[in-house]
Order: sequence, then C-alpha cells, then structure tokens
Amino acid sequence: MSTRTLPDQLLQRPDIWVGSRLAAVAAETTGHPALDRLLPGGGWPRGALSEVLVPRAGVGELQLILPLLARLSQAGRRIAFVAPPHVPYAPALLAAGVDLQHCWVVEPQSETDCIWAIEQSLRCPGVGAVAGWLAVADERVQRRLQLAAENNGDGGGAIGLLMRPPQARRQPSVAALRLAIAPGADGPVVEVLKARGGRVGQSARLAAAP
Amino acid sequence: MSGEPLWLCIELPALPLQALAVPVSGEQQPVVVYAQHGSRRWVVAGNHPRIGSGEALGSVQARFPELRVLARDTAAEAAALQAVGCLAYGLSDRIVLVNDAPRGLYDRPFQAVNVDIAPSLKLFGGIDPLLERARALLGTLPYTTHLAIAPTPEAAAVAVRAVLKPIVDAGALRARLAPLPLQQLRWPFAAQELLLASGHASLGDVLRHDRASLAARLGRGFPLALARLLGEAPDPRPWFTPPPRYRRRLDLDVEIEDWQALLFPLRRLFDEFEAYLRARQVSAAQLSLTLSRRRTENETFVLRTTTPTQSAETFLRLLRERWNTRPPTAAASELRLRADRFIALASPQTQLFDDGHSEGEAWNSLADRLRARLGDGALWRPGLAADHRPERAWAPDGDSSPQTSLPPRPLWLLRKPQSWKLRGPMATAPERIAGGWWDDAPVSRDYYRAKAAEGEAVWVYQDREDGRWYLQGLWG
Repeated sequence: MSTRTLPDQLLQRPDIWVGSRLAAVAAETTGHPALDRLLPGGGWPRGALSEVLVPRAGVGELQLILPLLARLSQAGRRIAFVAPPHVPYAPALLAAGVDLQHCWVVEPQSETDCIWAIEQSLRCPGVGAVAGWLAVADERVQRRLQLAAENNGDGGGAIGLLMRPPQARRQPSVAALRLAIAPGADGPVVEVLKARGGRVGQSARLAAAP
Repeated sequence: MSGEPLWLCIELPALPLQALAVPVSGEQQPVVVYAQHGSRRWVVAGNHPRIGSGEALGSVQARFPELRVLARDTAAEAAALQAVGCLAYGLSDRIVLVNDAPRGLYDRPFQAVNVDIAPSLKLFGGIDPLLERARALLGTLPYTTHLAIAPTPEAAAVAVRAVLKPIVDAGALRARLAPLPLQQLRWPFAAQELLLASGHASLGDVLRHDRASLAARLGRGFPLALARLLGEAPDPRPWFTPPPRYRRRLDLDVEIEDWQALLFPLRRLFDEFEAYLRARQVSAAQLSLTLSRRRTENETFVLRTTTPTQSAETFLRLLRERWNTRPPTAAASELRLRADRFIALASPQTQLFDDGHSEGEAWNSLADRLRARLGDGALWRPGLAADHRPERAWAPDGDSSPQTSLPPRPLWLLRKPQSWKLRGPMATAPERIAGGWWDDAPVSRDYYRAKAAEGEAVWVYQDREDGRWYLQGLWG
C-alpha cells in the first residue's frame, strides 16, 4: 500500500510512523547494483559506521568497498586504510580506479592506537572514508567511532568501514549497517545482517573478480 | 615624524632569577641568585619582597634560614635576553641588547632590550597603543619587564630605572633628567663617589659645570657619555639580529621525571622559538629536542611537521602526542632545543574560494599527529615503482600515475610470499615474470591465478629455479 492511499488524518498522527519515510538515509552507492537494492538509501550510510564481517583476508572485502573508495578519491576526498592485514597493492588499486594521491595507509602497532587512528581520520575534514581492520571493538569504542564519523567537520560526514572478524556477529553493534561477506566460486556473497531503516536477511552476489 | 630615533627600553629586572626557570612569586621557599667577586657574594635577584638586590648573601641567609641559593648563570641570562630581543621584533627591527655587568661589589647587572620605535610609531598609532602592544607581546614570555621611552638609548635606560613617564620630545630631555639623583645614572663608581663627595646630588648639579672641567676631573670619556645621554652625540651600538641557527638550552633547577611536568618549562622554550621564527619571518618543519641528565644521558626527539609552521603550539601538540605513547625513558635536568633549517614564510594569501586548502591543512595536521604518535613509517601512500618484480612494483609514497599498464593484479599483496600447495593443474596460461639479474634479488617465475579452498581467487607463482609454488597475492 502506498502512503498516498492513507487518509490524511492518519498521516498527521505523531504516533504513526511511515516506513518509507524512515528509509530516507543519506547514502553513497556501493557500486554493486545488486547490493544497492538491498540497502536503505541505496548504499553505504554517510556519516555513520558500517561493519563488514570478514572470515579471512582476501574473500572479496576489498572488491566490496573499492568502488566507493575509488569514487571518493577521484572526487578529491581522502581515503585511509587503517591496519590492513596485507599490503593494499598499488597497481591493483590504480586499476580499480583509486586516485593514489588521496589514498593513505596507516599502520598502528596496537589496538588502542588503531582505534585512535580510525577515530582521528574519521574526524578530519576532507576525509571521505576510512576502512579500519579492528578485531576488538566494544560498544563504547563503536559509539566513539560512530560519533567521529558523524562529526567529520564536512557537514556530510565520513563513511566508516569496520572490517571485523566473524566472531563479532554475536556482539551487539551500534553500526548503522552490518554486512557479512563469504567467498564464492562465482563471486563473493554479501549478506545484510543489520540495516538501520531497511530490511535484513537478504543477500547479494558481487561480480567475480576481473 | 622626523628621522630622530625614539627608544623603548625593556628592562628585565629579575632576569638572573627568571633565566634559571625559577618562579618569581607564589613559591613559599625564598630563592636568591647571587653574584660573586673574590670571597664576596651578594644578591642580584630574589623572589621575596623583603630581599633587596645588593644585600650581602650572608645577611640574607641569616634572616631566611630556609633560603635557596643559586649562582648566576650568565650564559642562560644571555640566551633569555636574546629571546626577548626576538620578541621585540614584533615592535621594530632596530634592536639593541644591553647586558651590563655589575659595576663593582654589591651592584646588580642591568639587562634590557632597547628598541628604536620611531619607525613603527605611526604603524601602531602612537605611544600608548605601542606600549599596550609591547606589554601584550612580552606577556607571552615569563619575564618581568619594566618599560620606558626616551630619545636616546642611555636616557631610556635611566628613565626605566627612575620610572619616568615616556619622554618623547628631545628638547624636554634635559629638563626631565636633571632632577634625577646621580645613583640612577649607572656611572662608574669612582666618578659617582667623587661627584657625590663634592656635593653633587643630581644630574642637574653636574650639568652646571662646563665639559672641559668635567673631563679634567673625571676623564675624557665622561663628557662623551654625558653628550650621548642627552642626545648631543650619536650613540652607535651593534644591532641585534637573530642568529641563523637556533640553539637554546635550559637548565632545570631539579631533575624532572614526569613528562607532564616537563611541558611547563618546554612551553616557555617553544614560545621563545616561536618568537625567534617570527623575528626572522621564517617557519620551521623540523625541531629537535634533547633531554639530558647530568650532561651525559641524552635522549633526542625530532619533531617534524608536513607543512612548515611558525606555531609553537603545533610542535608542543606533536610532542604531547608522542609522549602519550612513548614517554621519555629517563628524568631530565637539562633541555636543549635546536633547529637548523628554516623556510622563508610563504604568503598566506590563497584563492578567494579555495575550499580544498583548509581541508589540506586539516589533513596535514592529522598526518603530523599520526606520525608523531605511531612513528614516521606508520603513514604512507601506496605508490608505484618501475620494476617488473611484483614485490618491487610498488613502494610506499611512490609514483601515483602509471607508466605502463599491467595485466590484472591482486588487491592484497603478501609482504612475504608463503609456500603454496598445488591442487591440480592450472586452468590458464602463466604470466612469466623475470628480472632483477642486475641486482641481488633476481627472479624467474610463472604466475597463475588459482582458486583457494572456498573459491576465492589467489595469485600464485612457481619459482622456475627450484620448481616450488608460492602464494603472493589475494584477489581480495
């Protein structure tokens, strides 16, 4: 039923919430049309934290986030990898369309420094997105990072992408979006575990690597 | 405005004490700094209102049993005087440092910075706004100062000791100085004693004599000094210019272990450094700080910024960030600051609608903080390098535009290739990569794109030397 058919009096009532209005989430397209269709606002929520549960490095997590990073870097926004498990390989990043002028890698030594580095980068004006690999992040840490993404100083807010181990699934999360990624022979499969203002439980297959 | 100079004298009455980083008031324990000649010791500066300078040290010690006693450190005083000299560049670039030693026993030194403010009087809009500006500037460093203005450097020094209101008109100088007692003039003791003994109480009494008879009794130099005081003869002095390299040492009165406590004396050093940069109109991108203990154990911290800066706050923030995670290992009793390379100040003007500029600055400041806390090598840009070997085809902070186009490459590169267990024949033709015969790491490999256990794509190679298989990349 569309909202047009609801009687006006009903729409005026403050205790009635209309689902389609709630879904007005500011988002940046993921660059994967099949996935965009599942996400509220059609992409990564801006000014918020998104979590991706990654069983191990190399299952497709970079493929998932690279279209976003490439587009932001081309637009002159800075992007940062914090504590990546391996070397983000420059020739491949370039081939994926990333502007290497605006792409940075931060390698902290400890978890505390890692959280600090993600938070500081998220707060910095001119930073579009920060992808951080973080094994441990309790609710307090997540709230801190969420706040940093909101207060990016640019108005729009930065996009925080937290790469977490699959064990994090059992933890509560304050992230606006939570995805799980699994490898597949025809391309990685992404499942929506939590989406503020959207539906959960669906999954999409990304195109296989080139 | 005529071409005649007008001198602002900034006296530093407590310099012997303040140069040693001892607080002047607010401390319960009285502290004095003494000068020594032979076996005589006398106080030149103290932090207690009931201790006058010029008192014999013994008599002060008798009155204050808990007195702390420090010897004069003339090198520290000279360095502090230079710092104030640099600060005075905010008023004018014609600066003379005055560092007169005690004239004899029980005398105190006279230390001041003389600034010719005539050229900048118009800029500041008169004497009062200039004095206000001077007080604001001097307030940034922890030195007690007294100010006076007169048309000659010597008269300004006299005026500051006698606490005279500004003397702007050269014609009025003689009349304003005449009533002053001879003791204010800092003439040599011998001349002063002779004049006092012969019934001269004030400068006016001396000025009644003709110069020839004064020269006969007090020496040839005396009339010249008098003429310089009154502006009748020129008084050339060497101008102060900031040294080309920055060196500053501060001896702490005690060993300090807690780095938080070190930040107090450091703030002062950094503020002085900022005054130095402003005086020279340069900025610095690197500053090294050495903490030492008993002159032997040294620990040096190098602070770098991405963009050169004049701000002491920036360096202090970097230092705090670094010490938060990696504090100094030992207590410090001496601080040394040095900087050798400076960059001429770029004009801060940019385009009217340049939004990227402030973002760039925000990022640079973030990069500085990240490097300060995580180490210099912890922040880099993935870049390209001109080499066929995959592990050398990238470099931290390398090129960001491609020279050649490569076949598809994996998104993750393993820092060290891992041995790989072959699970059957490869579906695709290999990409042969050979090179490095010109250096110490020659390779000859056949690269394949393979599938790992759950179907994810990996990048493996067979070493053509030993026939073994290795995993080097993940398609990610």
